[in-house]
Amino acid sequence: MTICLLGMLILIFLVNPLCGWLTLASFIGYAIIYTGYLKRATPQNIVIGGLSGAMPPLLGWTAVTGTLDPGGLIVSVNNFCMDPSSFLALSYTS
Amino acid sequence: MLPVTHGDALTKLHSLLYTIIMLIVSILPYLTGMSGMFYLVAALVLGAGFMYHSIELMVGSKPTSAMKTFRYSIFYLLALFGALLLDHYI
Repeated sequence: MTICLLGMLILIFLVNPLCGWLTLASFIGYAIIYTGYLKRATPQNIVIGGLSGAMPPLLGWTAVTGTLDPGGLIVSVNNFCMDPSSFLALSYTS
Repeated sequence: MLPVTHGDALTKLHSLLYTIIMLIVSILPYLTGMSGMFYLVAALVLGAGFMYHSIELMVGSKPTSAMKTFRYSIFYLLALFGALLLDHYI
């Protein structure tokens, strides 16, 4: 929790606020919504959890430009579409 | 979780369908004018490799193909973003 807080402070004050709030949203989506609730609720959890996992390219984009552009969204959605194939393949390895 | 609750065949089909969607989305940066020819070629080649692995996972019966697909997906991300970066400078 302290590392999360420290990271959020760094992002909000040193980078820009939009990037900070998006990071907080993806953290909540992953740690609380995905891990706390979705993993037990539905087999489609990786699709929804992949949404917060696909955020990092968007975070990098907003860290540089400070706005939400279609280019960053396209790269993030590409990442999002790749996540299910990857994790479904991973679910076979054990 | 999906192989356990809905069976093998459905999981592999889902994997293939998401791969097809991903292939289409990966071409979007070229279609919107954000990237050039270099990125298009790289995205198509890498996407074809991912499709090959997905299809091999679906119709093949080798036990190692799942791990190979996962490893390729990590390499795919690295190479795709590298191509996006390089394309900006070429």
